[in-house]
Parts: sequence; C-alpha cells; structure tokens
Amino acid sequence: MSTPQAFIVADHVCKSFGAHQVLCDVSTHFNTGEVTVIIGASGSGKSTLLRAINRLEPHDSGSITIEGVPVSDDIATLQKQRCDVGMVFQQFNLFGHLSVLDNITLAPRRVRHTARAQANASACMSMRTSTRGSSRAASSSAWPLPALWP
Amino acid sequence: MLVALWPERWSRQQRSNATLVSALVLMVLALSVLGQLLSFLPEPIGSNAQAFAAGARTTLWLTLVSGTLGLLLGTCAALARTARWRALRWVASFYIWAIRGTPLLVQILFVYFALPALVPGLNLPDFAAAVVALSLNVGAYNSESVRAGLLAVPRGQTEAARALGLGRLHVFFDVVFPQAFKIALPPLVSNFVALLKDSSLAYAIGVVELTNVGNRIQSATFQPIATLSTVAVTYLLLTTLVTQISNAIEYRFDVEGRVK
Repeated sequence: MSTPQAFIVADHVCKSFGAHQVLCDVSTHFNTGEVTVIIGASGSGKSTLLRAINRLEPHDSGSITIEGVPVSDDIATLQKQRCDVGMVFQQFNLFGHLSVLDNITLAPRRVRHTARAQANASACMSMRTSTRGSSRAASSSAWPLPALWP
Repeated sequence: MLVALWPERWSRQQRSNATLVSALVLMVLALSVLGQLLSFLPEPIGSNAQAFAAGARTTLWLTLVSGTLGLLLGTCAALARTARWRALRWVASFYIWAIRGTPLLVQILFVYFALPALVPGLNLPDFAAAVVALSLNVGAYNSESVRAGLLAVPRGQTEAARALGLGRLHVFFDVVFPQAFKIALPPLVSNFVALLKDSSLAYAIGVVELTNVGNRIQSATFQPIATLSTVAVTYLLLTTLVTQISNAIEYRFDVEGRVK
C-alpha cells in the first residue's frame, strides 16, 4: 500500500462572522484514498470549513491548499479545484427544475463536456450501484470525485 | 381551462403541446373568421365587420411585437438591476422609476410628438411609435417581475451549481434563469394581458386598432352600446386565448406538479 498523500491541507484557517469566530486557527489535512470524518456540536464550524474548502465562504486568514494549489478567488483555478472537490449540502440543494437524471449529469456535461448519451449511461450505472448498497447519507461531506466521473 | 381537457394518461408535455397548438389554431381561426362572424350581426356591426376584424388584427400584432420587445428589454433591465456594476444598476433603476412613474398615454404621445423634435430626422410612423412606447412601458414592469424571479431563487442553488464547478454563464443559464423564469411567468403573463388592453391607448396617435375602430363607428352611427360591446367582447376573446397559451407554458415548466 502506498503512503497516504495529503490532498487537501488547511493551515491556521480563521473565519469569523462579525464578532462571532467560527473557525479558530484550524490546521488539518485530508489524505487521498481515505475517508475522514469531522465531528462536532452544531455551530462548531464543520460546514463552514467545508464551505471554505469550496471557497463558498472565503476564509479570513491562514491558507487552504488542494494538491499544493492555494484556494483563492482566482476564477480559473477555483473552477478546476471545484471539478475535483465537490460537496453535498446540508439541505442538498437539488435543482428542482431538473429531473433526477439531469441533476446528476449537469456537471459532467457542462464541466467535463461529456456527451449527453454517455453521461446518461454512466449516471444510470452509478444510480444502480448506489441503490444496491446501503444508503450512505451524510449531513455534509467533501469528497474527491474522479472515480465517479469518466 | 384547455389544459384540463386532455386525457388523463397523456403526459404533461403532451397536454401542454396540445393546449399550445389548439390555442394558437383557435387564435388564428378566430382572427380569420371574425369578419365573417360579425357580418351576421345586425347594424351597425354587420356592415363594419371587416373594419372590426382588421382592428383586432392590428391590436394583436401591436401586442405581440411590443410584448416580445418588452420581454427582452425587461430581462436586460432586471439583469442590469441585479448587476455588480453600480452604474448599470443606476441606469436600470432610473429607467424603471421614470416609466412606472408616468402615464402610458403621456409616454405614447411623447414618443410620437416630442421625440421627432428632440431627435431631428426620427419621424416614426404611428404604429412604430406605439410599439416603442408600449415596449418601453411593459419592459419596465417586466423587469420587476423578472427581478422578483431572480431574487426568489434560493442562494443555495447558486452555491450548489458553483460547488459543482460550473462556470458563471452555466450557473445562470442552466440553474438560475430557468427557475427564475418559472417564478416570473404568472406576473409576466398578467403584464402581457395588461399590454393587450393598454394597446388601446395607441388610438390617441391615430393607430387604427380595435378601440379606434369601435370609437369611429360609434361616433358615426350613434350606437355606442352595440359597437363598444363588440369591442369589449373581442378584447375578451383575445385575452382568453392569450391566457390559455400562457397557462400551457406554465404547465410545462411546472416539473413539481403544483399547478392542477
């Protein structure tokens, strides 16, 4: 087995909303090929950390890097990073105007420019495998995507 | 409602299509046979049936052209009002403030009489002047409806789309706009129906549309009840058919099945 490599690294990350400090000097890392769980009381900043990794909530200080590249406001880099690191929201935020299939295939089609037929086929395949396994619901989670997207 | 007429087993899309097609066919049919239908009526309608039919066609044409332009204008103004660039927001706000704060009749008269004086060489014919004024007017109201739709799309939708790595244009066109349009559709339709009726104000600058025809005939024949009732019923026919078309569109966009 190869030694685990740090894929996402958070270094002294701070974030506050007004006077309320949510992330206080957080340093951690997530390795490739591992499942990591973040546990904490509600309001302790689990989701904020995930949102910061996705740059939906810019952090105040410290640094977050994905494969050594810092997460910043640079649109091109950010887009590339968001292709590799996804997130499931607490309220899921499904696209209500789209079918289940279109919800799944929207990103592969638009981001990876996969043809619709191919995207549909691979989406149907992953739907079949995920219904066979137990439901693995998580309130929110970040995960590396390449395995799912061809 | 036409949508409810179709068999239960038909899909939403099939019913929507059937309604759209039949409402459009009915619209064309109504306009083409209106002349013949009215000619069976007693005086003074029968002898002026063709004038009524031509007036109705002008009214519908005026509404369709200004409605389309107004929708484009409204969407642009709504985007400008929600834009990041402050100057753009100001321009859009000024436009909406000026148009919504002045009477439509004044706007129509202004475009027809004052604009040629302000911009030498710009002598718009009556129909074009009415189209410009009506589009500007309905555009301002549409922009507020579209803006309401844009603001009603939850922030989580944008965040989810961005988190998937979608570019800014895709976030807008694939996720935000379709949902915003669906929410904005009912007020947009009511603006369109209002426009159909407001197009009657174009008679002030001499456009020979339905109201103008009716008014001329009633003053020539001294029979206001018959002529104005015919005018009103024709408007009612047109607005009913327009509402059927918009209902069909609304029904199609309603993926969650809330519209019964």
